Amino acid sequence: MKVKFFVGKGGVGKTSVAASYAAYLSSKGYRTLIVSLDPAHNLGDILDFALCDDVTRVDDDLFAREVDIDREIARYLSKIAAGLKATYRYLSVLNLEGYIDILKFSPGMEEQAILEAIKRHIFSGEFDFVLFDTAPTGHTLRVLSLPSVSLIWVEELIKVRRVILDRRRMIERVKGKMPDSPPSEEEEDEVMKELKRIKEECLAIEEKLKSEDVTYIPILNAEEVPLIETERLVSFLRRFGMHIERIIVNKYMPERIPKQAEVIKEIFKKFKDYEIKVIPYMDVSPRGLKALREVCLTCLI
Amino acid sequence: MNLFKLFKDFLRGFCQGLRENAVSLIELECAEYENIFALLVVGGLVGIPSPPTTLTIRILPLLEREMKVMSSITLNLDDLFGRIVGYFEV
Repeated sequence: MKVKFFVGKGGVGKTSVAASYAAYLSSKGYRTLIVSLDPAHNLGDILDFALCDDVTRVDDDLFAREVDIDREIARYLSKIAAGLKATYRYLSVLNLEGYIDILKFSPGMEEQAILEAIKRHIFSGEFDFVLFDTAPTGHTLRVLSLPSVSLIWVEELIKVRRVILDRRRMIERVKGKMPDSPPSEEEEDEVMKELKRIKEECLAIEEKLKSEDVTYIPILNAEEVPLIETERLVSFLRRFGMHIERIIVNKYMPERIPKQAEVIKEIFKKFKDYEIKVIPYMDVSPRGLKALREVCLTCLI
Repeated sequence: MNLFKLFKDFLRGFCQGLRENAVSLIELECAEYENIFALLVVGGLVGIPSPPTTLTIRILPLLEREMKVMSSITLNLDDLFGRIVGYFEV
């Protein structure tokens, strides 16, 4: 299974390009899923098909989903809530459900929910291609870096936990094990077990996001600001060991905006290590599978 | 016989005292590490950077002991000198 992330500044045309790829790949008989992670969805408008949070069949081999972030957060929190309720059962009289509702507004919860949506599709293996139409750059980078950031924290916490368990073993050796002694072995310490589980999960997703099967396609317009942002994006992806498949310059119209001719030279110079494809500006935005497939055939293949 | 038992109990108590004394500093160190661990996980409570929220809420339900240690240490923070002097039996 191949996974492609379409990334770039807001308004550069990520959804149209991702939908063009999806229309083309599905027409070739590849079972393809396109997922919109942008909270301001317009994938359904471009495919000209009503979409929702569930995976919907758009064509024989084309499936699509517009992720409902609130529903995804609720789904993720329901797992957490089960654990909290089991531990703090006595709190049920104090309306614990109300507290869990507040958790969805915690910083980082939206990024985690999006990561959960990504995980569900990239590990499912149900499709030949999974294409992600992402939210604008800053948001996407926070989501993609979340496993690495969590991993740094988990590793530090594991180190401290090991020291604690080590000290507990020392005390046990001298005083003997009491019935109320806290756990001193890694295998019996629930905190250590949970930390190791989190570490494994983070490693699995991080490894997948950096694997050869997962590629990233930055999209930009031939303008100065999108170019600067794309340079930062490319540098981030390289630093995290993620594979850039190609770079796409969308809505190119040097006849109307002569400055674009200069900027595109700069783009070819700065990204000389990558394949660059150019899609000209179209007076009518492509909508529907036929038009989208045509864009892919003429400009991207 | 009774005298022998008394002597045995005395020795047992004496050894226990020695053992308690030997590990008291390690227990203090262990409690401080448990305090640090709790602070790392719920640092937001005292205004220090926290791990990603989801990591905190996954570990928090398992940290009953560490939270108790943290609150007990926090209560005695204004008498840190007294606490250290106590541990060293000055």
